Amino acid sequence: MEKRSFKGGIHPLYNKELSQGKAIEVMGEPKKVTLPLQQHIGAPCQPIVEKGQDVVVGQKIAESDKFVSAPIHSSITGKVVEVTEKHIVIEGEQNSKFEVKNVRDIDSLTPEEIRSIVKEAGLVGMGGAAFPTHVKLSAPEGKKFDTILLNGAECEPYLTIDHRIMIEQPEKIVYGLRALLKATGAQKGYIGIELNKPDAIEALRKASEAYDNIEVATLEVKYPQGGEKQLIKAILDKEVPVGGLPVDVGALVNNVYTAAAIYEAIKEDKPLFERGVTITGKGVVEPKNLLVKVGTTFKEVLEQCGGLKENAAKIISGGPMMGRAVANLDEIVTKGTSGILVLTEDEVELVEEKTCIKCARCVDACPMYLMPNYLAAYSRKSMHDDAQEYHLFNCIECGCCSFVCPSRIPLVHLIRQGKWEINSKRAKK
Amino acid sequence: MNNNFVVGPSPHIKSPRTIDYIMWDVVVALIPAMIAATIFYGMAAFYILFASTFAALFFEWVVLHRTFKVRDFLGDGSAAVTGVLLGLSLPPALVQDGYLWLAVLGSGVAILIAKHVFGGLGKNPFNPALVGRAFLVASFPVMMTGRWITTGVDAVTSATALAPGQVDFTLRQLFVGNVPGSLGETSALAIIIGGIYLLAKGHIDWRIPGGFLGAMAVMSVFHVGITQGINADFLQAAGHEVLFQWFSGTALLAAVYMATCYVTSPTTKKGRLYYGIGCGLVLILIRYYAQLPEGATYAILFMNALTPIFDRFTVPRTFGEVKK
Ligand code: SF4
Ligand code: SF4
Repeated sequence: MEKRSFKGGIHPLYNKELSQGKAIEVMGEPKKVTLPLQQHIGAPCQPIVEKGQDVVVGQKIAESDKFVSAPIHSSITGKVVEVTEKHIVIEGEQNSKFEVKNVRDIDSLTPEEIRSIVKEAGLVGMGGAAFPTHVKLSAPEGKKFDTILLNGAECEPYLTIDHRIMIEQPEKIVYGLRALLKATGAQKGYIGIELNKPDAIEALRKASEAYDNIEVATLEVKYPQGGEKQLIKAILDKEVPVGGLPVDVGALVNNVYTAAAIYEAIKEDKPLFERGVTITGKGVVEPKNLLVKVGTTFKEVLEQCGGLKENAAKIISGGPMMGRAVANLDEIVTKGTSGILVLTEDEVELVEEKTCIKCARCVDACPMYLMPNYLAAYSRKSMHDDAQEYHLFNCIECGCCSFVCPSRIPLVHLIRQGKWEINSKRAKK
Repeated sequence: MNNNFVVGPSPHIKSPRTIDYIMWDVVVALIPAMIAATIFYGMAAFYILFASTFAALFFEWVVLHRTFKVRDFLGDGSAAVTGVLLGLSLPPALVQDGYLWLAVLGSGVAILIAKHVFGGLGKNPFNPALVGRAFLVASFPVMMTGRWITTGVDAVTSATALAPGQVDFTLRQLFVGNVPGSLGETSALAIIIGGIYLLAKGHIDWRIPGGFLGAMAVMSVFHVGITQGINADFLQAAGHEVLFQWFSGTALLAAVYMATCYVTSPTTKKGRLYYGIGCGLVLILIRYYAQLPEGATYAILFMNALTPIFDRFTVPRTFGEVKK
């Protein structure tokens, strides 16, 4: 099969077999959900319900008049018990099923209508960054979309939820892609899938057979194959300009799971209040793929998987390369939570950092063709001008450099700090 | 459930290849060359390699470690690499002549002066093994290059293949290793095996040995063309000259193990290629025009000095940057 790719990147151990074969299971209803008012980059929402009010599942409970924001819906039926600046807490019965209706179809909708449905349903990118989807759908003045790419690469080790949705519900994904094509006026859609998911490739080829403007692109198994810029490079052989956006090369990238959610928003009028999450790692008793209500605590989700093993040592929200380590299990599942990964004591390496031996492994691995060794050294010494001359801000924070460094220098961490320092200096001026 | 978890920045998984792993793997890649040396020179090779390596580990331990544990003594493997490489670059006659202590002295200079005076692993501008060797050649020229012995049990004094006026060794002899020279020079085959291992494991980049040997080949062909003109035998003569230059002396050992030293070679891809080519060019110039039998040491040390310049001027085009 064709093997499209990009230059650089790494081949970590994938460990997907832990949860790959597990069909998505519906998680038992949580008694209480905590819905954060800010679940993504952008403006936080304002509550539109009051304490003591009864709400039903799927009801809008918070929104914002800012453009870069997505409204929030209740994920269970029950009573609002707490409203603060940060979140809304809802308590309810054990049984709040969202009634699936078949309300409309893309053929009867205009592009504007599709965009407003996407916005009303509170859709965000479900690959991790959780950027509001409707914002991405509007091309800036003077630019237009030619191609829509769906990211089904799922290149992060351990995670399998995108893989599962691709083999379990391929029609939804293709439908979502067609909606995206209509909403943006783009001509061609691609679904990029890594070659280690042959069943997903097969399923989506079949589901998209009837549409000549949709093609499944097979990709080399490599991290970060699903990075927006890497995906565009691999499939379209175009480079997003430095400081630019995918639209500069006429492309729009969305996650396959987001596409499935678009289907639900259009066809079933179902807003985004639950999502599939991979719960995995050697520290989990029984790894699973679960459909989880937004607002559920990690603790409850993990209990559904038999809990943690004795030697559980690190909990990560997301994948091991770009995910965030969380301090405790009170952490909440949000719209952007793609996985909960539990690493064990012997997987958590606590070795000391050594001097750079100039082995250049980081340079060879960087998919953005940067020199992480220099960027990190300049950031550490606050030599911001030099760091920017070496294109500090072109770093996508994929972590390949830190992964390969034999001296265990936290390269991407130093680079992130450098960016942060420069940004806060700029903000002060 | 335990509620006290480790937090820290992403990525949360790391490649298992730490410094220790890589350095000891380089030692593994040197095993064929060590075996070949011992086959051809007998116990002399063993004594020299043992002396230089043990001394290197000892000096490293003196500087870095205070406790007495086997692991501490073995360190991160970088001192072992230096010791073995230095040993391989010494002539076996040292043992016969009672100069084994030169191996220890060379390691001392390599580890104490070339490495730790500059701040230790990662900070040294010049390859320690080569500095050690250059020091010995400069201070004890007679012992270091005056006498070579032939291989085999009844070893006698002889000249190296590269010495002026020396009878030609056949290419097959040079390739397999049955010729006089330094320990590690003898067998091209052993070095190639080690080199393939390093390339396959991703420890070295082909650009350095490729540029190195490529530049040597191009220069050799030119040399043959200039000295004997383009006649009917040209292709054969040029081919012979290329292989002779590759397989004689320290060229191959230097291209595979010494020029590729991480610390002292450039970190950009282009820089590595240019640096390799530079090493090959300087080596050939020394061989043809300086009449020194041993050019590789000086060629690489010279290029080590230029490494920061290569890094500076070969910064890669970043993703999405429009070519100017
Ligand atoms: S420098 Fe940035 S883009 Fe390059 S490998 Fe490191 S994290 Fe990834
Ligand atoms: S990978 Fe680490 S040790 Fe190697 S050059 Fe980069 S920063 Fe230095």
